[in-house]
Amino acid sequence: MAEERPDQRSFKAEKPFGANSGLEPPDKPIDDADDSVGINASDLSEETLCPSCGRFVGAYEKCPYCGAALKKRMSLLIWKRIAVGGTILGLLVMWFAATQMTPELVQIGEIQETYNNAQVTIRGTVVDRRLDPNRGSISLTIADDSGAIGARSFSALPEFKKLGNIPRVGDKIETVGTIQIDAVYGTSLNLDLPHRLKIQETPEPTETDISRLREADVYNRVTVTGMVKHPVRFGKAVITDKVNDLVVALDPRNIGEEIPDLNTGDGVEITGVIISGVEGYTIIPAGPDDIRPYDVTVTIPKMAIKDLTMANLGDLVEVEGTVQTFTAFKSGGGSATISDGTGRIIVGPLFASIFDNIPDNHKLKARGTRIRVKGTVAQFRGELQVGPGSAENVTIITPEKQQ
Amino acid sequence: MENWIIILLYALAGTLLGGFLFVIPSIHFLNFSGVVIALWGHYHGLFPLDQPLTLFAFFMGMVVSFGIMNTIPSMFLGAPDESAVFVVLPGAKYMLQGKGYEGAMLTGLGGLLGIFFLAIFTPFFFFGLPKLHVILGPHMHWILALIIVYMLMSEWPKGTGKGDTWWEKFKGAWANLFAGIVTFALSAFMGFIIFNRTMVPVKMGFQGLLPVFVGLFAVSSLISAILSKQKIPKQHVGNDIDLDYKTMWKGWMPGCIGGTLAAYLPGVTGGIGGLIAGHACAQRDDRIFVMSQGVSKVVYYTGQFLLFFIPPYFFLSGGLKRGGMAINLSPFYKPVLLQEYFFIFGIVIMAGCISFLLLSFNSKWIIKVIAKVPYQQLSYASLAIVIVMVFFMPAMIEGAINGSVLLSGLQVIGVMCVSTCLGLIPIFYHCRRSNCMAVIIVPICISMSGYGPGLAQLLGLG
Repeated sequence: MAEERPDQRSFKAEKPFGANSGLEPPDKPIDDADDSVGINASDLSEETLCPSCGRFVGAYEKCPYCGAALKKRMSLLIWKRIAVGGTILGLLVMWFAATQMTPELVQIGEIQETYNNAQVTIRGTVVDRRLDPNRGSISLTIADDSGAIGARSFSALPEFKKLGNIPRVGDKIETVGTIQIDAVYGTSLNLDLPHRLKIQETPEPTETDISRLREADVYNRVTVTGMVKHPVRFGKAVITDKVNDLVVALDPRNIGEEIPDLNTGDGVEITGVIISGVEGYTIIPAGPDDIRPYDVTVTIPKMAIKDLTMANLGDLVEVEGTVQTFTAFKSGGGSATISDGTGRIIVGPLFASIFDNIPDNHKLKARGTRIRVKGTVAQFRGELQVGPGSAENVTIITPEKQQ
Repeated sequence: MENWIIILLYALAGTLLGGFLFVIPSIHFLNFSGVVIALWGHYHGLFPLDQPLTLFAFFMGMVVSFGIMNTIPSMFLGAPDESAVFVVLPGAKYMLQGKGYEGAMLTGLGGLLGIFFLAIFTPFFFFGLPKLHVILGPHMHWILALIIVYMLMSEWPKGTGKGDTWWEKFKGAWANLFAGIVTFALSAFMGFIIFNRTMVPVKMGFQGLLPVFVGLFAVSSLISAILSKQKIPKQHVGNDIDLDYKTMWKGWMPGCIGGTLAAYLPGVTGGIGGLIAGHACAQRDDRIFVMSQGVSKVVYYTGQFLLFFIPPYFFLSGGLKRGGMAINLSPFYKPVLLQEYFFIFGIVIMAGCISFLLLSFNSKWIIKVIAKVPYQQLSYASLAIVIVMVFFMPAMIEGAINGSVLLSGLQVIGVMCVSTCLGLIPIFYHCRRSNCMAVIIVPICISMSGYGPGLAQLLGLG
């Protein structure tokens, strides 16, 4: 029988050169190969056929069917070398370049949607800070001249503590992070590289008055003095210089649990960063040491109830009178209506958190109890009221004293 | 959604544009979305700002058409994307038998069945997946690690083991396994560099993986196709498909499993999902395999994007964001209404049907084209398109051509060249191309496990 020439045989086309060889499941054992799939060898270039058995071998250097060593044409060899050499050399160059480069410094205001997932360097002032030791998360608000951005990590707080580079509000920092932009959560910076956060300096604060605060002070560190108008409630207090009010943000996640007692009428000097929002200006101190007692000459005027009008809304006043009625709230606490003989006014709202801390508070529910209240004049449904804001501002004058 | 006709027109435009665009080898919808978003930044009239759903409808049409139409370059022009690499060999078998059209239609039919699966799976998206996510979410890092182990361990020796010495036998048996492990390791290393300190300009941060994926899968495939001397036999356009209901079911099931795995697990693509599902179902028939890949691709691409439309109130943590398209579009709008989900699903069905018809139409004229023009020449043209697109991406985002953006373009091309070399290793050394997916799956896995910053610092990238 005449021997079949290699180029006359059918062959298995399971590994056509150029296609993705090496993938399952078409790679069957040679003996199980499906011969029905064959096409003529003349359809393929000679270089892709085994000179020994005539089967298609693609880029193999040894025939997988008969084991013959295959002399490849130059282009295949070159491409194989390029693939390996180019990858290793290219990756080494990329690695070297990557270790030498610093992510581009960008202005916060220039960040747009196409920056999503880009690694950048941000330089600015920390204007707010929230630490959650239980979850290990850290959240900063960093501002520069062009805008502000939230920077956060959900797990890096222990690493920040280890490195000792947790910035305080007012610190100028430079950090590297990845930008995340989301239609719901807005633009933020991922702070997963704690060692890339450098605290550059803590600028000296500028002394100013509450009523002289301007847009130019926003994101800057200032020192102001004033009198406590509303004591701390929901992480905020309000101080006043009798002309303008200033909200003081006292979030325990920023300044810790050691928040100083601020009672209505106390004089304070506060250093912090100014931000602007719906409530007007807010000052954010970096820690408890930024809140110091200060001797203010401002006194709270003692007013007769008849003298209080809508023109006094927002004023800090002191009134004294006897309880006429007490209306309890479903959630605890309530409001009292007092009279000083010249008129009647509501004292409240005395939320449960305030009411429960007033000594002998049950007396407030008894008609005739004389009380002294320091608070801010407000109105509710057209009626004037004095809001004490804290239990310390409500003093129950004992019946003995009254007698 | 009062202007639903406008949204529908955008969906139609996306479907039709994708229907013809994705016939070109190596054009991927994620890359094209980068071009569209870059252009939208300069021509705001492209999509109405007060109708953000138009953008999503346009791209959903495009995603669905890609899932189905991508079969054509994979089947006829030898340029698969990362999720289609598994369809090529059986697909090539169909093509070499002159049954490329039948193979393409089989994959397209799989795509339609994939959409049917998504329809019947919708209640699970609302009521099952959020609960499952609560359970699986914290364990994602080791689930991905298991998949990595599975990917590496499931590759088997392809050498003969023949040789005169033990070393030759050992080398013959282990060469491709070693190539697979090397490809995996180098891809993972590249991923760390790209994720931690990329050379891509910050302004195209949202397309940071563009040059990497173009190099790994598109350019390497095109080079491979150009070097190939293979001639395509005459193709037969038949009126029926060799398929029965039992085979269809057998192909549907692994495709659905693979596509679902890939759609849900971050960093896992249709190829990897298909590999796991294929092994799990252990079906050997080529028809089953080709069809299951059609199902898997559509379930993966469309399902992944569809997850973004599940109203966030079904989830404890504000919804799911999976896949490049959701990440690319998330800065612009987050669908929140149940109506939006069902409206988009209607678009999926419409786009699926149109794409299936276009698949038949396009396959027929492509068969005529490749009979006259060698596909190597088509690959040259595709290569030129892809390189121009990558090089000018920084310019498109900047909206200007100057020295700075051209330099950025060169940087991007540099990254693409390295990833191309990496993408060629599996082709020339006969290991799985899915090993290249280590470029994202390993960094994601390490990052989720909390070791990302530490490892980056160790590599000098922190």
